[in-house]
This record gives sequence, C-alpha cells and structure tokens, in this order.
Amino acid sequence: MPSEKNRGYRFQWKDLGDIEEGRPNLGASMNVSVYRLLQYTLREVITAELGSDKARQLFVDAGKLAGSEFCRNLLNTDLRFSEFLSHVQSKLKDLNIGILRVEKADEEKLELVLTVMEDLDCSGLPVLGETVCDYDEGLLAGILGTYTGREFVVKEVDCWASGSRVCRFEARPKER
Amino acid sequence: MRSADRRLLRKLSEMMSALLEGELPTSTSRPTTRTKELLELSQSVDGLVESLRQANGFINALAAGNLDTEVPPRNFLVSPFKSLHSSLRHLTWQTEQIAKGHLTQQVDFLGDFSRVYNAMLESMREKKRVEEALHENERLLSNVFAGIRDGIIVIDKESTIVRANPAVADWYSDSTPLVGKKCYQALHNRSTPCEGCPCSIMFERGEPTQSIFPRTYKGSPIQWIDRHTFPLIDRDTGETHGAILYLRDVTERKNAEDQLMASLREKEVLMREIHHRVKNNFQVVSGIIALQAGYLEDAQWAALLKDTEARIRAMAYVYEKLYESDDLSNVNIREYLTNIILDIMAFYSERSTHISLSTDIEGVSLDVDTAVSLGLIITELITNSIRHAFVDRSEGKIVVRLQGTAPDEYELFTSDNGSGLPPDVELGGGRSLGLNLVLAFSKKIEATIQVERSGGTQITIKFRDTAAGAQA
Repeated sequence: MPSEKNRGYRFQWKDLGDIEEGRPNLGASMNVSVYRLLQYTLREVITAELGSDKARQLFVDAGKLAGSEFCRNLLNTDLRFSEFLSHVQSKLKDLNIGILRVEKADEEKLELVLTVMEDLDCSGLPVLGETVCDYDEGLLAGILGTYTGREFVVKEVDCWASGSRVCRFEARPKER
Repeated sequence: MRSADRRLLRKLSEMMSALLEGELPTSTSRPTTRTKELLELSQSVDGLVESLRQANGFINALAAGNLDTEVPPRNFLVSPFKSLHSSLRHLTWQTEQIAKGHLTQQVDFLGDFSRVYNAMLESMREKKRVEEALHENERLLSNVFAGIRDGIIVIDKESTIVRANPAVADWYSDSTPLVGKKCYQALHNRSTPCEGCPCSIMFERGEPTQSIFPRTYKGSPIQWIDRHTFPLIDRDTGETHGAILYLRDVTERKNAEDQLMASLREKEVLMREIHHRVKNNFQVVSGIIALQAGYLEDAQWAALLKDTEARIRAMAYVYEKLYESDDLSNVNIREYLTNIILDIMAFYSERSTHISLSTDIEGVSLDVDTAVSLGLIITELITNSIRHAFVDRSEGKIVVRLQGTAPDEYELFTSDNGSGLPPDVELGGGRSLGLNLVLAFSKKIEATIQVERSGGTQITIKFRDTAAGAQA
C-alpha cells in the first residue's frame, strides 16, 4: 500500500499486489456492493470537500488512468480496431465489469457509440435523474486513448441512474 | 363537486377508457380545477399518456427495424425494449464487422439466437480457416510455379491447358494466353493433335513419356525442348484426369550433341578410311613379299618369306574387318579368325588338302589389339601344324576353339593330331621363330600358355580382353 504521505505517488500496475498470495482463501472477487460502497462514500467525501463538478472530474481522471493502465497491461493493442473492440468486450465481461456493446463505430473518424449493461457502477441503482458513471467515462477514454494514441472524450448520454436500462456512451477523439 | 371538476373527472375517465381500448387520447390541456388532488391526478394521467405515446412511437419504430430511432429518456415503460434496442444495435455493428471479414465476434445474452448465431460464426471461421489454408497452398503453388525456370503446363484430358507457369508463357509469348488453348495449338501451332502425341500415349499407358521436340517459332532463342509428360492423378479416386508437361530448354545441349555427333561421324569416316588404307598397304607389302619370294631359288628362303607374307595378311585381315564393321574399335573374332584359318589353309593348299579342320569360335567382339595378337598367334600355330605336324602322313586334323570362361575372360585352344612338337622344341627356346612369336604376342595380351604333347600338340591360351579390362 503506497504511503499517503508520498505526494509524488504515481500508480503502477504492480501496486495491485499479488492477490493470489495475499488472499489464498477469499480469492480475487468480492461483492459488487462493497465496490459501490467504496465508490459512493468516496464520491460523497470528495464532493463535500471539492464540489460536485470537481468530484465528477476527479472520477473521470481516475477512470482514465485506470483505463490506460488496463489497456497497457491486459489488452492486446496489436489487433485491428474492430477486433480490439471485441477483445475489450470479452475482457470486461470476463472481469465482471459489465457487458460492453458497440452500437456504432466510425473507424475513420474514430467516433463510437458504446453501451454497458449490468454495469459495475450503476446497474440497479435507484433512479437519481442524472448519469453517474463518471469513472466508466474515464475508463473507456483511457482504453481508447491508449490504443489509438489520441486523447478521447467520452460522454455518458444514458444511464441506469437516469432511468435507462443501459448505460450509453458517446466517444470521439478530442479536437486538437 | 363543482361542475369543472366533474368535467375533468369525466375527461380523465374517458382518457383511461381510451387507453384500455388501445388508443392514445389527447391530453387534458391545462385543466382549470382548483382541487389540488384532482390537478395532480390530471398531471399523472397526462404524464402516463405522454409516456405511452413515446413508448408507442419507440416500439413501433423498433418493430419496423428502425434502430436509429431516439430512445425516449427516463421512460420506464420501454425499459426492456431499451435493452433489446441496444442489443440489436450492437448486433448490427457486429454483423457489419463480420461482413468485413472480422469473424472474431461473439454474440451474448440473446438466448437461443446467440447460440445459433455463434454456431454460424464458428462455421464461418472454420470455412475461413479452410479458405486461408487453400489460399496459402495456392500461393505456395503459384510461387513454386513462378520460381521454376523450366516450363510447366497442366492440361486436362481434352488436352486443354488449364495452367502454365511464367517461364513457359515467356517462351510461347506468341501464343499467350496459353490457358484455354489446346496444347498442340499453343506448342505446335496446329489445329489437330500431333501424330504420336506423347500426352495421348501417356493417357493410354498411364506412364510418363519423354520426347524432345523443336520450337519452330522464328526469332525464338529456344530451338529444342525436352518434354516430360506425367499423369495428373486424383489422389482420392486414383483416376488420371490430366497431365503435367515439364518442359526444359535443351537447345544448348542439343546443339552440342549435334556437333558431337557430326564430329563423331566425321571421325568414323576418317577411321574407316585409315583402316582401309592400312589394309591396302598391308596387302601391297604382302604382294611385294610374294613377288620377292617368286624370285628366290632357295626354297628355304622362299618359305620364310611365305611365312612373313602370311603374318602380314593376318594383320591386314583385322583392318579389313574393322573397315567393314560398324564398330571401328572391336572385331568379331569368329569372322576374323575363321578368315585367317581358311586363308592359311588355302595359302598352304599343297600341304593342307589332306587335313581336316574343325572350328568352334564364339562370336564375340574383341578389342583390335587383342584381335591382332590372336590373329598372329593363330597364324603361327596353324602354319606350324600344316608345315610340320603331318609330314609323311596321309591325313590329319586341326581343331580350333575359342570360348568365354568368365566375363571378359577367354580360352583359345588349338590342337593337331600330328607328330607333336619335337622334345627339344620349347616355347621361347629360340629354335622356332613361330613359337617365339606365339610367346611374344601372348605376353602382349597377358595370356598364359599351356602346351600338351600327347597324340599331337595341344596348346591352350587363356587371356582377358584388355580393352574390356581397361573400361572396367
């Protein structure tokens, strides 16, 4: 566990530790509600401290860093674009993060419409009237950005928490 | 209850009835009631109608296959359809990827449809694997075809060219494209199959054929082509369904062979001429010696010259046989020795009329050097028998045999039933020139000699054909 006093801390994949060695009995999985407990309590504390907009931005940034490291360490970036998307779909499903689907993909413009069902962050939440998958926005932006080498902007347009059954994201490269 | 509230309630009741009938009623349009609960009820019914209107439009569009339709936001009535909508849009994208050849897609969460669709995808992947393997084989075959500098043509059973490699296409650029033409059209500029077509022979016999044929097109550097025709056999059925023609440019080799053959023919003519002249010269020498002998009064000197003449005639016969033979370096030993023996018998006719002759000479071809030595040996031995064995005898018999005893090994046997060699006459003893010559020529061909003196004289000479030994 990195020291909180170390203000220069930079995340490294190895910081996830050797879970197999560390949790020989409980293993790598845990209850989804525990994950959500962590995320939403953290969200409240940060929101209270920094305000709603700043809190959302921090979750997007953290998701982007996670997506980038996820891509570098777990994904095969040598695949063609459509194969890569299928690969991401398969990996997210295997890790029980969510069921990623591609609704549209313009391979020339790199513009995508993606949906995530049974999303780790929001599926089953009470309807709050707003989108909440800020971390997912960042995660997808980090994956796509690392694969393409371009910075991506991902915006959630439908969310379980906003009353939809699926979370829908529009992704496109950031305008230079 | 106020009349306005009553009208509103009636309106709301009609709206609910219409909904139950499957119709979408118009909204209450700004109700004027002052009753808070009634106003909230009115707003809820209007909201429900609007939600149903949106749901109706969305579901109808979905049913019509319009997947680009807008999803009504925050409409819980269509929640399951939103999932279906999302799945169908994703399936559409996946199908687009499949159409582009990206077969790594996998469909999930659509029940039986997913199972069937994924089975179809696996089938397509298997087909693609087979196609890629076939394509790879085809690519390899094409590269092999292109890489071989000799010509390769594949024809079907009707002699139609179905494939030709770049080398042969280059050779027959005046006939390209070769594929689709009959082989006799493309290779021989004929409208009908060739006489004795090697492909037809191959089809009939099922065995490869080989032939060399000329390339007649003017300006082509290739003049001669060596053609090997192999059957193209279906490995499954074992049937021949075509042929492979392997063509090699042998112009250089053929020209060299032709030059070699011409040179060989020229040498044969020269050799024949030389043999002819040598024979003639020997005959001239022989004639001169005969003339010379006629001038001698001393019978002993005349006899010596006659012996010499016989020896020269024996040598002349070799060159006569070589001149007459197709083989310019080997002599048929039966013809040669028989000729010599009969000539000697005739030459010494005054002494040989009462001598019977028995010959059994194998008809083998021997090297000219061996033949000359044998001719001179037999000349000496027969002459010796005629002149010395049967003096004062009314009859006699001479036997000559030559036979092979092992590959390239022979045995020459001569005998007479005359008085036999005198006890003091030995091979190499110096008393008899003839026997000394027999010994000398036997040594020349590395022969062994065995002499018997029981009831006449028997001489056995064993030798090897020196030329055959040298070749081995």
